[in-house]
Amino acid sequence: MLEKGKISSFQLAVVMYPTVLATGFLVLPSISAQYAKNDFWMTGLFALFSGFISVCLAVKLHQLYPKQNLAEYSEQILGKTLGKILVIWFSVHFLNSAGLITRQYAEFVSGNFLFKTPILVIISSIVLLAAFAVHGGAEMIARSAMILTPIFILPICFLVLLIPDLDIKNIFPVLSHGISPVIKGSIGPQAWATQLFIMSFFLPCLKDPQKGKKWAFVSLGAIVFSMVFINFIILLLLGPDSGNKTYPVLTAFRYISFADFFENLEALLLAMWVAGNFIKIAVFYYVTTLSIGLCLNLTDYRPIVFPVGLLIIALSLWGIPNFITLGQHARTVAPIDILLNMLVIPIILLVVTGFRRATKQLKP
Amino acid sequence: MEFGGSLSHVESRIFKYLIKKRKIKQTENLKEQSYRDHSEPQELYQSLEQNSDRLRAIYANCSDVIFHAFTIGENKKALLMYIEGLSDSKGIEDFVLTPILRERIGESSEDLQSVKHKLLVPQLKDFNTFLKCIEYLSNGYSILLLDNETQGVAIGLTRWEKRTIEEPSAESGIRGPREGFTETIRTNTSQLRRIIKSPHLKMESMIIGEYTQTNVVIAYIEGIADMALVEKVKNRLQSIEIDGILESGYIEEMIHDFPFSPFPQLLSTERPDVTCGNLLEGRFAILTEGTPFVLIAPITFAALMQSQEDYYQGFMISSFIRWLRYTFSGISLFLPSLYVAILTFHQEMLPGSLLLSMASAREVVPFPALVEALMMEISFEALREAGVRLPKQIGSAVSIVGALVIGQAAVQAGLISTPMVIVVALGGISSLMIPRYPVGISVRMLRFPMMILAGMFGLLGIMMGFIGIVLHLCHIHSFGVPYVSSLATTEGRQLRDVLFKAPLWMMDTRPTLTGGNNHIRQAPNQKPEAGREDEG
Repeated sequence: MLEKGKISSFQLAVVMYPTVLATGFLVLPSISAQYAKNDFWMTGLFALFSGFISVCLAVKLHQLYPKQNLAEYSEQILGKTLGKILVIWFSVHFLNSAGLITRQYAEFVSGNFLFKTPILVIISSIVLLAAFAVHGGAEMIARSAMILTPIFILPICFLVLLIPDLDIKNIFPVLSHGISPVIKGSIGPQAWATQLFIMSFFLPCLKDPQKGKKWAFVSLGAIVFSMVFINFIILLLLGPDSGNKTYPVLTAFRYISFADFFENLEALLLAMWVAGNFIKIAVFYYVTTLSIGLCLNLTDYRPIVFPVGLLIIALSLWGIPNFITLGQHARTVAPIDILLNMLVIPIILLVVTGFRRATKQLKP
Repeated sequence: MEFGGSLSHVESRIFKYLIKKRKIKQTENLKEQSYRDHSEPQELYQSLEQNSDRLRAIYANCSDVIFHAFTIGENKKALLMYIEGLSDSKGIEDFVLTPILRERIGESSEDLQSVKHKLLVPQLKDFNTFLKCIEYLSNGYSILLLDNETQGVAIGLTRWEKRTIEEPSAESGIRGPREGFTETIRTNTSQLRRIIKSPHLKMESMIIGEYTQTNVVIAYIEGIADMALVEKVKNRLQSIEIDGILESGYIEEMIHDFPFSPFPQLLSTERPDVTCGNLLEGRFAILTEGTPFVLIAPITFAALMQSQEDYYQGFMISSFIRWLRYTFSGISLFLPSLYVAILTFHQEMLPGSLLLSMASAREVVPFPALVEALMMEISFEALREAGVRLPKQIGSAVSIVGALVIGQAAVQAGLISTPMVIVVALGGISSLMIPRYPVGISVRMLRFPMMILAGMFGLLGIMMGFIGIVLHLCHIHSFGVPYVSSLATTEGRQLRDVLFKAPLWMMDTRPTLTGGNNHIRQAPNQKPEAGREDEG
């Protein structure tokens, strides 16, 4: 096993929350609002369903192969060759995701704070920071998440200050176009929620594995609650206009004006949000490094941390020419990509395991 | 991978070998200069003359060492030696020389044992090597050597000038004991022993420093402290090979885990009550001869933000003060950089009226906000440092220069703006809110990179710097205890002494530390209630 650090289940939950939501808050409300119109607040509830499945998958596979992570038991389940191919597949997927997440963060920052800073500077600074976290291993990511996640959550609490501006009538008419637009709009949130499956990399290093399932569900609950809460605020504030905004949450922050003093705070609140993005990037970076390390049969993943960081920087720049393409990618490709890797492949793995165990029992 | 692995393995072995060789050579150099000449015999000679010659040779040109040769009875030669100023010469006269020399001729008391019986001193130590002899002599013992004896006696009549116990000047408080440690290690250990009377309080001593031969004591409470940890510390202390230890800072730098960290990994204090409080929480203390500063480890970041008075006052007041302290620590780190970031990048964050007044104040200032802030912060640090070092007579000069020239005159001359003065003053004061001086100074130092980051990337830069600091804090540990362990903890009860200060009857457990220590602090359910006795 490459990772020797130990984290607790509660820390796992704290790590997973920003891992799903950091970019989720940026892109999801607008994506789902484009499909589901004024019913998009419901899309978060559908995420509960797919998130539940992926947590169950991760926990079940962990129970069958304790002390092993996704990349390790893939080889056990599918055999040497197929397993190796799958590990390579996952490495590429995680590498690509890490690049996209970093790009998403960088586009967000350069579009809202630092208009003239080259995007490469923004990307490399956060990747460098994440590299230090990854170098410290799971323990360090978990510990820094314990301090940074509350900072990430704090701006969301500030949205409560918007209550006087909310208009409850925006919610009507409920389900005027039937359920199908809502389901279409929920593909994004569902995909993001299935990223919880990443915890299969952290489950083997739990100090208290028996509590892992419970805290994973708590984390899922918090994620879905926050999604619904944010969507509600945005819907009641912006109404049918929500789908037209690039970052509806940012628009909501701009509305905050309280006691003639708490206004125009979006820069501060969004700086706090960077903390969440940092954890998300660090987690994906860590998972990428770990899978590549397993791919190459390394005994220690630390030597490849910085090279992988360079790959992430490169991938964040290569695939995406501009912000428009990134938005399109997040709307069309990303949900399918994530759902395939974080939901479908794990289901296949579990089915194959079940099949193997069944045939084994039949044989003797 | 195989190849790479073996290569790096070989490399590391070569590297280790080179280091080891260098170390051996250096150690030899160190020993050569010392008096531990291995060619000469180590044991005392039979004849007093030879002993005397050898010792006089060792202490050649040492005007403070007194050799007093005399004869006991008829023809028993004796030599008394002591270092003037370390031994009690009046006591030597009254309790050593007078009883021995008031010898009537004919009474046979010519061997060491009978001479020893006559001495009116309780603390007598036998030795038979020159090394021991020198050790006792340098520690203030008087040495008595007799002819035809291969043993000598060290007489414990030490007395030297020492500072009396005073109130610690760097760590004062309103409520709590008023005494602080002194430079004398035995006074310090006695102060600890007076507070913790249980024999479980152990104090193991060792000598460090080739020339200074400094006495270092590790104190811990058996049954509470993690013994594996104590062993680890003892090993680290024993591995120190150095010419001298002048202050506990030398030890701190030689034994802490992360030398490249701005944060202190051992707590230094001059208060016996703080030391005992930490001993009772399962930590260990390192007392060093010659300094009132005692080192305590393992510590966490949260522990460095606590003051002893938190535990002497009511929990509501303590929690309030603790939060005040946290807030101002944050202000001390972030305020100058926030000023820079907001004025450079995010002017819209200021409310309109404030923005107008700030703009009019800054209108005449020729520098960008970052330069202005750096200038002022650096001059504040210079003032502070000058204030620490300056002779008392010219203290007022510095404060006049500080307040008038750098403060008022600079504003009037249009070099800096008034808001900047407020920011610097507030930041400076708030860094002093941190009860442990070394942490305050690390925070002050970290302000400078934060300001530069803020000048480059605005609020985002501040966040980056903050994440960097958090990562560093998550990375380092003090003797196996993660630095943020009580902050980023998963045990809710640990936060009772961090987020707020729980009442004493609620804190039934000690901090976890390495996990090897004893956790139970007190009996549960001791919450006092009105009329409890009546019900019982």
